[in-house]
Amino acid sequence: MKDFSDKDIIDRLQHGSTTERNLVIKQLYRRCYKQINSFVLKNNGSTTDSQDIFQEAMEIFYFQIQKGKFESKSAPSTYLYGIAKNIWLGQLRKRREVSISSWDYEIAEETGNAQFDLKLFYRLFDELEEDCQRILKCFYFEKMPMKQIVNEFSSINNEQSARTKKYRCLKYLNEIFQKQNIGQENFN
Amino acid sequence: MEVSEEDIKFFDQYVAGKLSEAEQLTFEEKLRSDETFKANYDQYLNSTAAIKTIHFSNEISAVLEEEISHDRKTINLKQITIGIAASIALIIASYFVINSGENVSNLEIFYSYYDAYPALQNIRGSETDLNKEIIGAYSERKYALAIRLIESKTADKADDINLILSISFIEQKSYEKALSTLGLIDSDGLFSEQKQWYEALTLIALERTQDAITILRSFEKTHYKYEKSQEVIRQLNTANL
Repeated sequence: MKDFSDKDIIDRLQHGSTTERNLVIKQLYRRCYKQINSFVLKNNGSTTDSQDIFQEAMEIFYFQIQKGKFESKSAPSTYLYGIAKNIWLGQLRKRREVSISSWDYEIAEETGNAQFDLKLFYRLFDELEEDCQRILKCFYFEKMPMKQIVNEFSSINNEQSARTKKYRCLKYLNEIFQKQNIGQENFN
Repeated sequence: MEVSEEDIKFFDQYVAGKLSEAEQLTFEEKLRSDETFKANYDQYLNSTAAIKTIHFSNEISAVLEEEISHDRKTINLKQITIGIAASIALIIASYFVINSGENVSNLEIFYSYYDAYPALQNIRGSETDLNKEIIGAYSERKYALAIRLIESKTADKADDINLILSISFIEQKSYEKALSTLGLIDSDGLFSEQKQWYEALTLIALERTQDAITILRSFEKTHYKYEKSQEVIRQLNTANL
């Protein structure tokens, strides 16, 4: 299998199909995981921690790409490793196993101290009614056309109703996020 | 200010690259000149990126599970090769050694008696997509994925969920995490016997033999693992003479 170029990695994560996204995850895993694992093991962590850190770093990386915030001059694998390192050092710091002075500033500054709480997202997203969750997933994640969405939902009769439903659901999600003070400052 | 349906439609089209060149310029000009429009667009990006990331997270877990399993198989293959060489050495060595009746280790006892608890058909609130995904991941032995999904739930987890989480930790050899999760299961609840059995096994894996024996001795005769518990106690006593 031919490796994706750095530009292709970003492009596939942003606009690619499920298969393309999965190939990108595999490529990044093969490029970065050993390095992440070695860093975590050297710093009081376990292999399970490394797997969690890789997962979380991928989520942050993807989130930043989706927001159009990824502008790093580094290769995606270097950037991902930087995020992973920040997350692990942050966790150690919380456990008071490392002082801030031991941070690797070069990478930390480049990737930013990304604060991203997917668990909080899940909880808030769960507050939406099930139809809302589904319609937002279909439209924004699966990029399903409105016509197909109409076929997927027995409660929706036409494309205009689907658009209105999607609008109301997204507006409601925005409100939940705003209530929790989730705004720009949380997800930069 | 509240975002309008028209603006959302405009954002959707801009992000999907469906605007004409002129419309795109108008959009970008509005972003620069209209603060409310810009704030609504930023909130839109936050929310839609969050929606996508929640679902992408499951894709990462699945691929990660596959890759880790692939790595394990590769390592196992290497170990088999080394194992064959080691076996030959062992046969030669044992020729010279009188059978000393050496005891089995705690880990061997653990592996002799440990089996992952069977997948539950349903769990509390299993009608939600997330719970279905948890049952799916666990029954397909995708334990890292199961852990990720469960940990994304609220802090207050039911006993059935904590049991699945504990077993997933054991499968990942995270015995300490397994033990603390088992500790959250109600000692008088529906899964109290499973809690005791897996606590004892986890303690064995952690070489905390006396703690394990104490738990095993507390099994009632009606306990679903009573017979096994007596066998394990005997083996532990022999192994730790």
